[in-house]
Amino acid sequence: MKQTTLRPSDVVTALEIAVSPGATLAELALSSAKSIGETHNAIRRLAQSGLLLPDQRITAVDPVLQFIRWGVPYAFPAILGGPAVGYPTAIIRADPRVVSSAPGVTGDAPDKAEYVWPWAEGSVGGTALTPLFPAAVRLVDRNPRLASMLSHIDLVRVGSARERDAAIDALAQALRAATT
Amino acid sequence: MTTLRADVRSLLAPTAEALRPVLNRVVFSGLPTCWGLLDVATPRVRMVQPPVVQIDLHATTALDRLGSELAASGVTRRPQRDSSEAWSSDARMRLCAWGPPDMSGASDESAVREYAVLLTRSEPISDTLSIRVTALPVQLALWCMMHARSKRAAVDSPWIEDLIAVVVGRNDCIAELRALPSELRAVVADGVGAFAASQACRWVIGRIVVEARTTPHIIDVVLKRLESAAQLPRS
Repeated sequence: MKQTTLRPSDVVTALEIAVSPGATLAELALSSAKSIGETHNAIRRLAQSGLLLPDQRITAVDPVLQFIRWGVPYAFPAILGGPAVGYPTAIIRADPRVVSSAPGVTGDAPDKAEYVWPWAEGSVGGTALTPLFPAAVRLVDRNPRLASMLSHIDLVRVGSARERDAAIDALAQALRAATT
Repeated sequence: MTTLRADVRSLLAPTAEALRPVLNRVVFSGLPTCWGLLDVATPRVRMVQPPVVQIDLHATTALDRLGSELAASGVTRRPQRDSSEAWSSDARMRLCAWGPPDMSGASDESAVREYAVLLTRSEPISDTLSIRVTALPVQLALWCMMHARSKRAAVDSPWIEDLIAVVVGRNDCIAELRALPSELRAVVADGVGAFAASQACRWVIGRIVVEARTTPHIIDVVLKRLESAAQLPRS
C-alpha cells in the first residue's frame, strides 16, 4: 500500500471540472493545458482525496475551497524568485482580462505588479512567483477564467488575511456560479 | 493639513457627506486611516489591500435614521452576524459600523471602544467637511480587542497584521503607546505579548514585512519592537 499525495496541478483539474461540468477527459485536458494521462491521474487522486464526489466527475466545491484556504498555502507554499517579467498574479480580477492594481481594481493594466508568473511574452514586471503548475501561463490565452482562478489561489498563498478572505470569496462565487 | 491618503479621502467623502447630520457623533478607524502616518521606509510592510477596503465606524448614535441618505450615496446595509453593522459602497469599501459603546467602562472592550470615540484626530475630507479618526495608538488597542473577540488564530487575523504594519511602519509608535491611558496600555501589552510569544509570530511577520523574504534577520528586528510594545508599563 502506498500513501496517495495530491500534486499542485491537481487543484487546477478540480477547478476545471467544477467550471466545465460534463466535459470529456480530452476537453478537460485541453482546457487545463495538460495531457490526457495527467488529467486522468489527477482525477484519480482527487477522487481518493474526496475532492470529487464519489463515483462522479463532479467537484466537491466546499471541500475544495477548504483545501485551498487551509491546505494549499502549506502543502504548496509560494516559491518566490527575483524581479521578472511575466503575467500578473495574486490579484483579484473583476474580469479575467482586466488587471487590478492595489488598492482597488482600477481596470488599467499596470506595467508593474507585486507578483508575476515569469513569462517571456509578458509585459508586466514584478517578483517572480512560481505558478502551481508549469503550463499555467498557457492558460492566459487558452482559458482566462481558469488563469484568473489560479491568480486567486496565488493570493491565498502569498496574501494577507483580508486578501485571503477576498480571494476565497471570489473563488467560491466563481465555482458556485458554475455549479448551479 | 490632512494625514489621510488621497485614495482613502476619496473613498470616504461620499459616506461622510451622507453622514453630515451626525458627523460629530461618528468616528472612523482602520488601517487605511493610518496609511498616511506610516513613516518608516524600511523595512517595508505590505500595503496591498484587497479590492474591498475595510474601514470601521464607531457611532454614538444609530445610523439607521440616515439609511436613505447612505443609500443615496451608494452605501447599502448588509446583514452581519455579530453586533456590528456592515455597509458597503460601490464594491470598493466596506464600512463596519459599531453601535454606541457601553460607557460604563466595566470591561476592557467597553473601555477601548469608549476611548476610540474620545481620543481622536480631525481630518479634513473636503473644503467644507472634516471627519474624526481614532488616534493611532488607540487603534492598536482596538485591533488587539477585535482580535481577541474574533477568536481567530493569529496566523489568520487581519487585526494582528494591521498591528504589525503600524508597529513596523511608524517610528514613534512605541513612545505613543507609552502615553496611552493605563487600561489601553494593558490591552496592547497583553495582546502583543500573547502574539509575540506564539509560534505563529515569525510566520505572520514574514508575510507582512516585504524584506523578511530576502533578509530573515529583519524578523528579529520586528520582534524586538513587538516585545517593547508587550512590555509597556501597566500603571
